[in-house]
Amino acid sequence: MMDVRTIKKLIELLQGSDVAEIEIKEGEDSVRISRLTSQVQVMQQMPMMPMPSMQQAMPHYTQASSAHSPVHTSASEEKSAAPSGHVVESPMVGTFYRSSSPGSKAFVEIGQSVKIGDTLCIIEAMKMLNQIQADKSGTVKAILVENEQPVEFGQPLMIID
Amino acid sequence: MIKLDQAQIFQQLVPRVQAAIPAIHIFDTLPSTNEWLLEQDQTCGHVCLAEQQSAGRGRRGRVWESPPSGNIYFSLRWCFTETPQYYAWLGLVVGVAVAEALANYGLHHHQIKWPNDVYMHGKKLAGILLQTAQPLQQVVIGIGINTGMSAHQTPIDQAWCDLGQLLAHTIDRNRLIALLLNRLVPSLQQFLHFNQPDFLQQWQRWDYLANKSVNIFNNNQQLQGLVLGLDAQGQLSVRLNSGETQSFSSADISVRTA
Repeated sequence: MMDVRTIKKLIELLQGSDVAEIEIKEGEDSVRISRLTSQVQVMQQMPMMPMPSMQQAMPHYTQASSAHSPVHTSASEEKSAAPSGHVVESPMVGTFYRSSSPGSKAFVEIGQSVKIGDTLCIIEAMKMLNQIQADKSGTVKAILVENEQPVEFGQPLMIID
Repeated sequence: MIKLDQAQIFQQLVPRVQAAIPAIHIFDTLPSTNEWLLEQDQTCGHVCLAEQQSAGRGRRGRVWESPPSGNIYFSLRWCFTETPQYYAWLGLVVGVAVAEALANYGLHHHQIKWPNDVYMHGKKLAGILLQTAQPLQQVVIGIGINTGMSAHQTPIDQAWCDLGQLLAHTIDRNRLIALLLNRLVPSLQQFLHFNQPDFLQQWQRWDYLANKSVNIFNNNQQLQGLVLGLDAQGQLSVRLNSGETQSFSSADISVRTA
């Protein structure tokens, strides 16, 4: 099940924007939020086909419900009519940090333009720091997680467009 | 103080580890051994050591005091062939390797404070910080061990201890670094086939926080609870005083004294 805080954040985000509808897919769950009708649909989908290699490679990053591949996400975005934001996902379970140390400037703010390779945030798990870099150039449209909050594998962190 | 020396380290490595370590770089001073390896491409398996760091770091930008008084400031870049299934456990695996290397050097009664600080009698002896590189399956493993800190005068903002003092002799850092690599490299070579039950047995032997009452500083909150152990992802599982059980992937933990 998608984290309720993520959904709430998405709703707030949409309300403050001129975007009509957004669809985010996380594992087997997807959520589509439409601003005009304030409708939130959470769909529980059957996996279309088993993905044994991915499941073998990744299960212990993940909660039971999120056997998941990034390729899957972009495929579903192409099919939907939602705006084509590029979703940056967490590569592992951990804690989300927007800056390198408490009190220092955030790596990025909403509205900032970023280039491929720019640092967006840090995910820390058991004293392993993962500097998450932009894998797409564009503008930071959304930051979906609060500073210092726990994140799951595959959880959407930011949207770049 | 015995100077760091590539040849002395290398000749004490077992052949299988020698084959995995193409180079050992030693500097008088560097900003940070981790940063240096992160900035160099094509350094898989390279070790970086410095007698002194001007910008040694812990987590969340904290300073790792790095005077030129005979401590170990060690980094190793390791390149997995794929992103490991149990990647989040790597910090714990490195902690056990450091603890076992110290035991092989002759230290007894030390423990690991989750996730990977080595402690002796409630004082910190060694600290570890891992930083993934790009691509994600490359990681720089930074290990700081107090082997000569007692010769240094600057105060440090937490309780610490020093291997030279604990063993009452000057530490042969070249031998200790070789013992560390001999223990760490096989763990890394086997990490793609990580066996969680086997590791948990090893972990329990070293676990300092098990069944302890702790204070937890996390996300600007202070919580109290009883440590239950590791959860399925290597996070610290704590039964909070509120009755709720919560797992932490990063937090400042201190043991409560009754």
